[in-house]
Amino acid sequence: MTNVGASAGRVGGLDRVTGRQRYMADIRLEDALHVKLVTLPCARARIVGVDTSRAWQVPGVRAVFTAADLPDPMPRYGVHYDDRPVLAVGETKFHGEPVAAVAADTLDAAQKAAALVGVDYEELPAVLDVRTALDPAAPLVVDPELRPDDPLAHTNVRREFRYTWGDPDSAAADLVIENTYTFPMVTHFAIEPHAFAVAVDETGVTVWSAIQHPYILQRVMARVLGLPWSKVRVIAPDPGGAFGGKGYPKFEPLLAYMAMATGRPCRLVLTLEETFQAVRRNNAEVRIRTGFAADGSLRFQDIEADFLMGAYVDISARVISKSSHLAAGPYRTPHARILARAIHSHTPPSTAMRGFGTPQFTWALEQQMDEAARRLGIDRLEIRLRNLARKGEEVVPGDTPADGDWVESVQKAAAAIGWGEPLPEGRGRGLAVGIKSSATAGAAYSILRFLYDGSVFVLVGTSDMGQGARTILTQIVADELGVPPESVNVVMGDTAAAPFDYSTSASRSTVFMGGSVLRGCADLKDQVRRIGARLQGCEPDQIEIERGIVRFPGGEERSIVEVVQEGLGPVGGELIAVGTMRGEADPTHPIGGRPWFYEFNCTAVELEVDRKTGEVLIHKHVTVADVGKAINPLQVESQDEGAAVMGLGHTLMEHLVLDEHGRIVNLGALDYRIPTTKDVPLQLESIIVENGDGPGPYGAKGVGEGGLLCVAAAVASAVNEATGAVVRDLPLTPERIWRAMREVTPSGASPR
Amino acid sequence: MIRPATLREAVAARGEYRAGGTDLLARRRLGLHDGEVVDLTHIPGLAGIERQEDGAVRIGALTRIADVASHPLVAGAYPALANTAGSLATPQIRAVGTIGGNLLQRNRCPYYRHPAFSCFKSGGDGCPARHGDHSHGVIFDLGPCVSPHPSSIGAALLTYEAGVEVAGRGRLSVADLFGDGTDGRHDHRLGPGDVLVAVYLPPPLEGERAAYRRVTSRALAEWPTVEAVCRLALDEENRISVARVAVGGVAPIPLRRPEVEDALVGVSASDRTAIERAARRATEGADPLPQTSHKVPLLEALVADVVESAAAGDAHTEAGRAERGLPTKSGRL
Repeated sequence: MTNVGASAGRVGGLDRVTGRQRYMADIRLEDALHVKLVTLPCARARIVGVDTSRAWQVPGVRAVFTAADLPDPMPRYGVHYDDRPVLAVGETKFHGEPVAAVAADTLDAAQKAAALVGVDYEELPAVLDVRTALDPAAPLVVDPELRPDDPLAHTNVRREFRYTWGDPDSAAADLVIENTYTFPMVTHFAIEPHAFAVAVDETGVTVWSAIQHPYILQRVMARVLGLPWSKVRVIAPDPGGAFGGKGYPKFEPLLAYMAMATGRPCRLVLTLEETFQAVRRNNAEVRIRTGFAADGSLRFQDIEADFLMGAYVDISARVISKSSHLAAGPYRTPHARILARAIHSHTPPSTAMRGFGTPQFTWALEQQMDEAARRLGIDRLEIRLRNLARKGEEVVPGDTPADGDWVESVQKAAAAIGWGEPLPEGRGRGLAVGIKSSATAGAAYSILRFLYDGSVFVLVGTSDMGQGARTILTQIVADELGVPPESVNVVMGDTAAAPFDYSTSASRSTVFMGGSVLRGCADLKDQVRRIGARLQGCEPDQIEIERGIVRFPGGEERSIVEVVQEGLGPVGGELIAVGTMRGEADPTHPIGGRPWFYEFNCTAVELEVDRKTGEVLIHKHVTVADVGKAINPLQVESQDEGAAVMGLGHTLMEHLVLDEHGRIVNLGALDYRIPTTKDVPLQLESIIVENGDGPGPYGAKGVGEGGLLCVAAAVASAVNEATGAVVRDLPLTPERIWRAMREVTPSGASPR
Repeated sequence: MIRPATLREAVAARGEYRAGGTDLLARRRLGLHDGEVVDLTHIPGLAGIERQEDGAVRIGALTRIADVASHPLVAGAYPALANTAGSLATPQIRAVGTIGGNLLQRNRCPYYRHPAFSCFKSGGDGCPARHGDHSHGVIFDLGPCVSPHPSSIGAALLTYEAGVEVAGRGRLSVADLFGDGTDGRHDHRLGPGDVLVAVYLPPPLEGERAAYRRVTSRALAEWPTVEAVCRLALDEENRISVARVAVGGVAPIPLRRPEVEDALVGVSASDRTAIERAARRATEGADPLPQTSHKVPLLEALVADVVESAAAGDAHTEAGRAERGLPTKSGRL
């Protein structure tokens, strides 16, 4: 059995699920202080004064930090915009933003003291939704002085992204459908909470953070603290789930200042409630006008989307620019106009989240397709097949063309769900498609250390947050070098040990870091060929290496390790190989470069709606992913199943509820509902399409986000078939479905 | 933590009683309780299920919810109680939580449990849910607090006309345990020193049957949007001779619905129209809040559903549904 293409067991999987893995919160630093944040019970408030005297009286307190303890002007940081203050200064911008922080010998003391910090504040009107944010009379979330030379500085809009092709105003259509769809505020709910620690000594600053992109954190910390990058070491233990929520700096700069002031390491483990206030997905309103010809072919899309980013940009401007560029989906769209706004509000900052803005658009787009099918009398499957771009056809002019046989995926999903077969009483089927742009640029470096005994260290900057990157990279190295997987050790999560990786995002790691490691293996084999040539007196290109076997011109075969050992001689040593995979940015491209591949998914469901209660029971859920090549089919299935269930969360139950003060009301694991094991579909099937047409190793594309993109639209489509109800707001709670059913049959809330 | 070894010591001890601890520990973590804890788990005789000489069944207050759900004495004679116990929370909670703790648990209102809010139940003055998000709230607006009572077992016990024994106070009816719902500050009427000792279930009637069903927004770890329990006895002509109906998720207390019971007596067990007519009386006196109006028709439909199920001898268990090929919330029973 080869390693690549086999469902190898998860590297580190057992430790991860048995609790043996050392998560960030398990890492105890000697002499570390425990930090607790001090927040106000409202979103926006003017800070009149902070009285720390009572907090200081708690035994064990070593620091009570307020804005006054930080440099003036307040240092601000962020990935693209330096907009986030280390502590709130003058005014809080969202509920959960710290105005002070306590460091103490024990967590108990820190908590006690934090509760004793007296903040004199005056609550101010807050901007909590799109409508209010766009009102010209609304308070400004961001001080215009912090946005010099920005024409939008006197609005709550941070950026507007516009993409147009064709001539949408004069495109003729037989049917025009116009609707507004909303996508709720949801949060990532990684099981591991966010946790951080910082220590400062003469070697520089060491930051521990369960972060997806350690090199971005390194860069941001160096910039905030005015240090060379080499004096910032980021140690990033494998996160316990991230889903985009652990991408960018949060409280690491605050801890650095506290560590410098106290001379002791400082650590902060957020509670689940604090994590809710730290990260979420952009909620959105999508207004969409779609024109169709009578035969169902798309004529134009006119899309206007408002994304509520929250108090700080984090990565949201990128989420919105990138997803809106592909808002017209995987179809041939002759004419399109897209406008997407990135809007500030007094709510927790949004960040990247699995799907990266695409689920919001897909929810709207795919329901438009359904409505057109209903009104034109065309089958919902047929209207999609009619419009899907064929391989090589452009979806956005000038951009990466369709890179897979998408029709094949859709047909597989339709067959698996039994599309067109008679439906049991009370049931409905639905089907939807989605595509997401992958990485547009990036750089992944890897170092392979081939040790004297034939085992291999692989040093990479990718994070394994449960998606299985360690396993994939191990399989590639084991396959290429013919070494057992057990002797491959993938070292991650230390910027002082592993070379640069752009990020662990956009489902890129198999393609980029996998490609980098593949190139590293090629470099290593070149070195072995040169050693072999020296030993045998032949030319390197006369030597073939396949799966660890070195074949010399005379036909003699030896293992790589024998050749390396003889070459290195009795003194020993090791071979060091380097892999590099880069995708350069294209500044002329609207989103900075063409996506390397698309993640295409088709999801189909069959479900039953309880007509008395609106409860949904999903009998079967099929998710089809075009992955190019499944390096590990089990992991592909696991990722797709996980994405499908996560998608069912925002589809059926998840949404953050804010009160009029901007506080999250349903704060915590019970009141914010995510699917439980008993909410998963009775049958969940993951189908993999492999045509070897991706840019990654062995023709692989990325995987892991696709399964979530169109779940909501597929479920809504099936609910509609079962009941006639149309719902354009998520989540599809029993109550919403029940109310929508009543609109269809007003007297028949419980027809029999 | 105080660890009394006898009931007498427990009655004398001052603090909040701890049985399974599933709710108390969560409230302590949230900062809602930081006082003394009186651990009841070292007192002998507080757990266990046994039949009394008079045919009644005694369930010790510290009996685990999972044991209530699976005990043959309960599952055989009091199926609606067994089903209710087997439906609530999660398997983990049911394995640790007790029947007494379920009855006496504090309210689940997110405002009550939220560190940034204060309300009647957390010692403040006001009900932020009334003017905020109360989509899980009551339709019987009986008191200043609009959050429904969380005890599903309480509703089931109402239909069985169960009593509770409280040390030092003797027997109370379950209805008296909860009061009339006008007290926004408390979830039950026991005070300091009142230790719930046991639940008593009167002997079952000849041929009685029962059903329980809850509507939830997810399958596990959830309190019901609406729940209904029905217990019936039929005469030899298949007419309803005794009816007991209680509902949850709709009032500050588990609520018995005598209007429905009265309307059901004399109705043929197969007369769906008459059952539905009776079920509509379940919402008599309902006064829904702006975000809970959907619970009114939902409650009527659900009551009709449990009455029909009970009349048909269908206990509405997940296992029962699976056996009959009906869809269940879990395909992995």
